[in-house]
Amino acid sequence: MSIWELYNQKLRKSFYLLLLTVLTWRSYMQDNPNSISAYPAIQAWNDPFFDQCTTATCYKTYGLRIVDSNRVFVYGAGLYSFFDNYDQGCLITENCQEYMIQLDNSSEIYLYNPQTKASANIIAIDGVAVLSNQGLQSSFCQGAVYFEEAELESPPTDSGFIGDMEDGTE
Amino acid sequence: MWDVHWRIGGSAGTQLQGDACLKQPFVSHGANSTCFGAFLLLHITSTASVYMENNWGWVADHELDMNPYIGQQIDIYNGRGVLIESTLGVWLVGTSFEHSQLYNYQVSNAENVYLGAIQSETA
Repeated sequence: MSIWELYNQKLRKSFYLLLLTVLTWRSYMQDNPNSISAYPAIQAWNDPFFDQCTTATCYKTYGLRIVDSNRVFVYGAGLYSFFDNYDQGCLITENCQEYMIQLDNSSEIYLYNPQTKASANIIAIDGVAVLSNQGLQSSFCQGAVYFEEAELESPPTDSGFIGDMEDGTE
Repeated sequence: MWDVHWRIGGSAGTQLQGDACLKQPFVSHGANSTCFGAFLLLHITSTASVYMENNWGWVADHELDMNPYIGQQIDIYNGRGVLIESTLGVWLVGTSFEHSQLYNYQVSNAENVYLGAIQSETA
């Protein structure tokens, strides 16, 4: 069962007509123009600057970005990219964009069933891809069953509970 | 917060419709300032705590109301989807944010965030 099905089932009961429009028409102008053309990133708002980008398809909407945050639990995500400047040729190679989930300077991030569509990389940490979509076809999407970034930024130095859990010692 | 829908453009009265904002995939172009939507759809601030269920933030990708453009694809430029900055507990259950430019979901300087069944589409 996909999250897409789960969520739309919910929609179907209350917004039947709207559901039809969502499934039937999807527009995608990026990268003509790209993600930072209309709204340049603003540091004060902690926006993504797309600094790591070297290709045109890198400058596209991030489905989910977690930055400077801790203890975030995601139970099911469907993050989709269907077009490149309204062309669907990129669906053949499942690479309409380069990155979809960005985890920046964060810890204790738990992602259950993150599913992406046509993003060459499902997850990047601090701008570096850590989970490619290659070989992770999962029906309509590409995804993982579970992914976590659990490293604490400042691990406890005493014999704290977390330390005991990690190394299995007292 | 239950069953709330954001809609940016694509419908009567928005001034972001097919007559001015039709897609232009065959020419290289920048962002047409006539077709700008919102800076941000939803801001959950650092002092907030909220439970949300069945919410959909939609930046219109096609015209709904205006003839002869109904069903035709349009380019509406919306900055950001949802920004979560809370440390006090946030639950999003069955939400969707679609077609913003920089991000659809961003969790920033936040802690204790639960995102269940989220969906997004790139702009």
